[in-house]
Amino acid sequence: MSERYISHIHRDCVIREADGIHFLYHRPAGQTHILPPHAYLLLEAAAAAPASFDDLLRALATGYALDGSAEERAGLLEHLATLIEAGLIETMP
Amino acid sequence: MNGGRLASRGGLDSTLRVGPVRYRLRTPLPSVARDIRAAYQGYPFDDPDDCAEFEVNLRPTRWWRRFIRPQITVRTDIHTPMVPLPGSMGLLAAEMGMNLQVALGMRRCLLLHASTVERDGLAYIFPAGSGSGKSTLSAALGFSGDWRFMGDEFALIDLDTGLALPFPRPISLKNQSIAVMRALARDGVFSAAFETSHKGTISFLTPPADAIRRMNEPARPAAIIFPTFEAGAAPHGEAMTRADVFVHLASSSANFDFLGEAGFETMWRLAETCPGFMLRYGSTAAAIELVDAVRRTVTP
Repeated sequence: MSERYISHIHRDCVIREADGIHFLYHRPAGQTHILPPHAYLLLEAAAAAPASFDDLLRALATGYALDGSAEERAGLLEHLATLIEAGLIETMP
Repeated sequence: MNGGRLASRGGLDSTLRVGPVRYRLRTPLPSVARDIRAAYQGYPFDDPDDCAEFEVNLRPTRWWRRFIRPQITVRTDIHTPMVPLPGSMGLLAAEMGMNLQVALGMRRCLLLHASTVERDGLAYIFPAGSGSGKSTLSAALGFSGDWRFMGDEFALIDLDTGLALPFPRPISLKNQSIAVMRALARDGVFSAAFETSHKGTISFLTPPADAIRRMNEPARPAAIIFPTFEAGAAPHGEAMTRADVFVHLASSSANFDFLGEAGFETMWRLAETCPGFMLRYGSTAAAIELVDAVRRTVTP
């Protein structure tokens, strides 16, 4: 997994937070997204700097008890695919 | 009403203003024109300053349908296929057409599927689906004399100011609500009762005169209240989180997806500044008490 992930939420989105839930209005798509804490944590990590898969896993581990199992890695991949589909994260070589 | 050629033959061709919304209503059918005039007595018709933004044209489906088993269809600017209705249901058809035009075409305001009342300059918004009791609740409050009725179908939130704009159309009462309001609004102007296949019996109640007279006075939203009528239920109220309020408001809006960033910001401001409550009740009297309890918690 050599590809890196980047997010432009601070450029592209209006971001509001309430009760731990983040509400993002994504200007390019004209869509509103409602994100649970772990999903927003991923976006913040990818927005700070282009991040590898392992970087994102480490970022997630700061807020959640993770052991890096295959199941967790598969779960993260699934989350990333959802965020990519929503246009909130892009991949770069 | 001037109305020109159609009016001279007993029909209707007039502008009608309800709050910030300006309609042009047309029909060649005298019975439909009569029902509309009766339901909208006291409203501003044909104000020379009004330029209609939505047209609702009620016409016979065929020319001979004007005379034999009259049947009407609704033609509107924003075309939506509507099932023809019997000529006797002209007012119902007009109300459906007027609702649809606003739901599909309103872009100046955030539109919530909600009823609204006002007291002491503050608006209390009741978002809910059809059959939840939101119309009856707003009507009962409006006719109590202590509250101003602002609308029973759509709450209009100004995108610039965040204020709730009155949209006091005739109140759509269904089934048992008709008897409830006949008891509470003894001098009220009720339309005929229309038997429909999907919503049961519907009758329209003209809002209190005060609501029509003050239809240009906006109010600052103070609370968002999600009402649920449940026969036999004990009165129950529950505060909501801000996140829950936003999610529920978004799902109750007819045009949130079309308004872009302005809609998002307006919705957020509403959720941020207005506490939200879930109310469940088994009678109109209990609902009024719950709403009054909310009012006491949000007013200084």
